[in-house]
Amino acid sequence: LPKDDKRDSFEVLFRSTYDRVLAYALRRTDPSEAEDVVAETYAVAWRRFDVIPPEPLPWLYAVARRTMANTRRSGRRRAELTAKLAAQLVPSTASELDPSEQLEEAAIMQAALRALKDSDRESLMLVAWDGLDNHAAGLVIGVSAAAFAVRLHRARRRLEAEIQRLTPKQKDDVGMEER
Amino acid sequence: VSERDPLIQKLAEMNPVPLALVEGASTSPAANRALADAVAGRRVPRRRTLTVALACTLVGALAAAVTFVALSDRSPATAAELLKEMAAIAAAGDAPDISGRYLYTRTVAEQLSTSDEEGGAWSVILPIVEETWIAPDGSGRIRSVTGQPIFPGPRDEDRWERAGEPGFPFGVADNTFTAGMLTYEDVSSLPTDPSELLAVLGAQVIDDDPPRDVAVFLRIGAILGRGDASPQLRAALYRVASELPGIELVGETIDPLGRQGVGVSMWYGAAGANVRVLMVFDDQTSALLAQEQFLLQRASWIDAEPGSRVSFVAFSASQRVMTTIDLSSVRLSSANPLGGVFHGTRGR
Repeated sequence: LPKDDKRDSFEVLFRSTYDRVLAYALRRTDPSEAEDVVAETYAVAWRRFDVIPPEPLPWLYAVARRTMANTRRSGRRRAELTAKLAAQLVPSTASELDPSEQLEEAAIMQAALRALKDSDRESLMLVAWDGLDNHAAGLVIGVSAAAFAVRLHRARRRLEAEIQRLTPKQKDDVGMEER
Repeated sequence: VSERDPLIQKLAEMNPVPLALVEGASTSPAANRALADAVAGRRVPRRRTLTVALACTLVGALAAAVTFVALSDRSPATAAELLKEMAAIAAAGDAPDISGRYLYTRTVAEQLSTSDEEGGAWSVILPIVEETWIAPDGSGRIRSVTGQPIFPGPRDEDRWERAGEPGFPFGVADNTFTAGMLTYEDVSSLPTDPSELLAVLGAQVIDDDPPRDVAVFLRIGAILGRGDASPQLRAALYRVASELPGIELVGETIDPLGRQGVGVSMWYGAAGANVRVLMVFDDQTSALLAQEQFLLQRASWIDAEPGSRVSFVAFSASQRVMTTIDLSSVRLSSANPLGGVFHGTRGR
């Protein structure tokens, strides 16, 4: 492509994906680092513009993911990052539960998520937060859709087990079984 | 796993960064800079703060750190004015419901605890959701859910390991107490004249750590957080706070639970490092939403970046209730929290 055309096409890609890539990074790291990760991701995207597939998001997420992995190796501890992630974990959409109850739910969910392995947590986040299907999520972490489905299934089961372990036993649980 | 999988759905509802939050970010100054850097092949510089435009779109804990950086240096008079406004709103408020036998409160917190070992002091943060039911006779119930410990930094974790990896509370603790086992503080006996109140609160400060004014500030927060003070007492507490030397206005901020509020802070020296205490109020109702503490300098007792929040307590519920029956279990009968499925009403 001529230079100006490349620049224009890149800007279209940039403007149409930036919000999502930023959200992807913000879900996994703190705001100041997220901004750097996104900038680095697009720096790579510009250099490798010719290999970006027609559906660019999984490719961009994969680059962001590697960038974050490099940053983490260079300093911070995983515990710190997952702590930040969990601190942000407050219900964002309306539900029938009252706010204080949502918070307890969130506390259990955050503890459960924290207890998972990184790879399990990432599988769940790609689907639940980033809204990807098995095919796209597989592209991000470099496995087939079928292999991702298996990973997700396992991660889901482990999350459920953690939640059960952490959830206080309620008298009403018995009542519900009796019905 | 289908899209309708209730567990995945529940997790999706807790998305910390829904797309709506970053809408428009692609044309922010930060984005324009990233675009220009990318096409120019410039090496991406490390930036330590987000642009204000973006920061405004973020919620909760995410925003707390950013907002904190933007703390204003406005004069204490402005903080005093804000607190006097709060006093006026509080004075006009309704009297608290005192019909129930127990005072029920729920807090969501990250508690900082520091241990001074021979190999060096270290800190750990414990996330905890706590519910208490306390009756005037000292009977009641305390139920808490504690999450995994968070080490502020690698040094804290190393020192914890060297200290023999002492355990932390984890999971659910639920205990009931008979009369006299808990201490019920009767705030209705506190004076509502600001200078008398200051004398009483000041007399309750036992040592100088933190300093007296900060200790009074924290005490005021603890009483306001209970939610059962009379309008007159609440107004007096705000007036006392407005007279404390060292109060600073933080302005609009967001509490750890993502609630919009206004902040007032004070700082003090804690074992060689300054710590800022922030109180976040709802400026419509004057309710205290949260109390937070931020580290301002590198410290020997915690491995955290200056500016990071090291603890908070957010007040999420307060009411009088007749029994110590689990409020959430009553509601669980109509809404299964993790299945997201409506199961019909109790007694069906």
